[in-house]
Amino acid sequence: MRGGNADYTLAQFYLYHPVIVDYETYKDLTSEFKDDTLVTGTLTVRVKSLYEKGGSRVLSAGVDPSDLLPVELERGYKAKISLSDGAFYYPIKSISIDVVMMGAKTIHVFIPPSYMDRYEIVGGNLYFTESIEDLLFEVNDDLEDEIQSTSFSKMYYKVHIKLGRVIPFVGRDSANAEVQTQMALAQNTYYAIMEYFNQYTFTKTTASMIDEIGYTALMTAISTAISSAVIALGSYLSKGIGQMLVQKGVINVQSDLAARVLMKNGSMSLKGVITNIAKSALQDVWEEVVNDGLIEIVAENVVSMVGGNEHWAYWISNVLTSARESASEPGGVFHEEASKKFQEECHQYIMENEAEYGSFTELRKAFWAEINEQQSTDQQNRAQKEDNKRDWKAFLISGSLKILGYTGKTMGIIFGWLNLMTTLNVIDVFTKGRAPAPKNFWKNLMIKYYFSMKIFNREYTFTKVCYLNLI
Amino acid sequence: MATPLAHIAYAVVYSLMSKFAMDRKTHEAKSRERAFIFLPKGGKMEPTSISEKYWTDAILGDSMPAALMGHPGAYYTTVRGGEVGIVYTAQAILSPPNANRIFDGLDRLGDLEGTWEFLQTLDPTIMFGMDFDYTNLDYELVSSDLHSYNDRSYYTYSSYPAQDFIFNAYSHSTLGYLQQKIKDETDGKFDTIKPTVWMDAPNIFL
Repeated sequence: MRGGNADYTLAQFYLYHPVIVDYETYKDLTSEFKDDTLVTGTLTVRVKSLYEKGGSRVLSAGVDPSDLLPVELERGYKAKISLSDGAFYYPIKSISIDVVMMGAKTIHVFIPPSYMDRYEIVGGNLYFTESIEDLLFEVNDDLEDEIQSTSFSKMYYKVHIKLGRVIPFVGRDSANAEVQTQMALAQNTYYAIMEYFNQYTFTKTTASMIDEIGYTALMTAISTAISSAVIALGSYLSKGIGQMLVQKGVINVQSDLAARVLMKNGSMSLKGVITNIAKSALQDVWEEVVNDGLIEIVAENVVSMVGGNEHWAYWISNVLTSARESASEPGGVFHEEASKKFQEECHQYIMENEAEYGSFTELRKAFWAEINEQQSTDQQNRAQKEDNKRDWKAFLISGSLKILGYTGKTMGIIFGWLNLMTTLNVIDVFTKGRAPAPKNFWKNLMIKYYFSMKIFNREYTFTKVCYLNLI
Repeated sequence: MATPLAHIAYAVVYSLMSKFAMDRKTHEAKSRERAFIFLPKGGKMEPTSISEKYWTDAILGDSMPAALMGHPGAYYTTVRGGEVGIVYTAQAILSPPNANRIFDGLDRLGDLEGTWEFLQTLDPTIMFGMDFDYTNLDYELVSSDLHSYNDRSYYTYSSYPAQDFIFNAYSHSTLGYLQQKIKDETDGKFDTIKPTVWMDAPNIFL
């Protein structure tokens, strides 16, 4: 707002004044702590000493009290402490001054109330009608002798100004009543406005957060539940294919352990599947809402705080969240479950063949060596079979299953995408009462793209699970 | 080999698509600004900021983690003022911080409990702290400039020692401080801060 004539039409100025309360409230505030802690504040100013000792001014540092304008000298002021650029209406309750003699001692001088006519606040400055030294020596007769007899490196004053932050309403009969009444009305009006601002801002922010968290949680939970179910089904089907491959002789399993793992591993119960879907959904919600949220705000804001631009903030945040995504492997519950079963099978095998292998590490080495050798042999055998065209039946089964597998996966991704699109639109209709508006096209597309990429990621995890199960 | 490649492909595609969308919005906003703001010769587009948010609020802001923690920090509004080409901005505190939203006494973990409830139900309205505090607004915290004296050489201010920390932290976002600051910055050309309501929303102008 510009100054000038606009000042005359402004409302009562309410800042830089003490809060005015009724007398009963003031009494409660002062009696709560048995002192005036709740109604006062202390402004301490380090003031330069102008005292002369041995014919020269003592070394000192601080606000120079002698920095007075000619007009101020004309009014009879001898010292000045600047407090504010014009506006400072807090009443002085008391003043005390510490005379700090560095390397020696500090003498505390309380200025009694009877000396209140020696100072006043005008236009944001605290004026003294005599120099600070004269005031100090008048209040404390022995002070000058103390200073003269003390050896110190520097001397300065700490002027403690106790201000009234909260003052009582003086009563209607007082001469000050009209001014106080106007100020109290202005303060009440602005308090109501600021309270409205407070409530509005907090409510709006929390409502936005509820909306954002709810939306993110719901979308993540649904997306994860759908993709987890697909993964579970895929895992089950791949196990079936794996077992069929073994039974049909496409994969020739000689290892006792490999056969057991291939035939038994991954057979999860329906209860286990449902539990893991719920587990995946909760895990993903936590990661999206808490982990990613924390990474994003910390990365983006810290980068901007240290001087980075928004592009850097984006890329750092993005790299960190992507790393988190890779590390946590969304939808990996089924992978973990399969791995756990695999480990159990291995442990059981060790128990049964402890004498032969001795330790899990040894078994693991032997197992993978055996599997690798088996794979190599199988590949050679298959190549030979294909070259010689001697086992047409196995070749046809193998080729057909491969085509079936690739087709199934491709169709799964396509239909998964379409299914997700439909689901998201249905959710929009149910939660918002309408389909996504065209203006939100990009936003929705990005959200859908994001979730579809997550599904793609899980599809890949699914492939990995199948691969682990098959080998 | 395939696993890292898949992750890299996912990260690259997702990042580029997101960046593309963000850049598009940024360019749109800048174009709109260029189309509707006229600057005099020598005027500049970027406003001068005279106060920033407290650092914890600058990091947490109004993010989801802040909400899950129970909104312990303050919320601000961006104060604007000045003339065309010489614009000043500041962060004024509107909703004061409240640490009790996280830890409400020793026997209750405040919103941490609410977060656990949320994880069990996925219902964000269950979270504690996402409603009113039922505490009165601290008038001094949003209006008094006294604690900003602690930034000035040779001046210190203290009121209620137990609360000095919080008052010092937010002293640059009070109405009293901002009015004084804008007056100093402009040599008295702009000397008033005025809270007002525009479209139901709080606004403060310099």
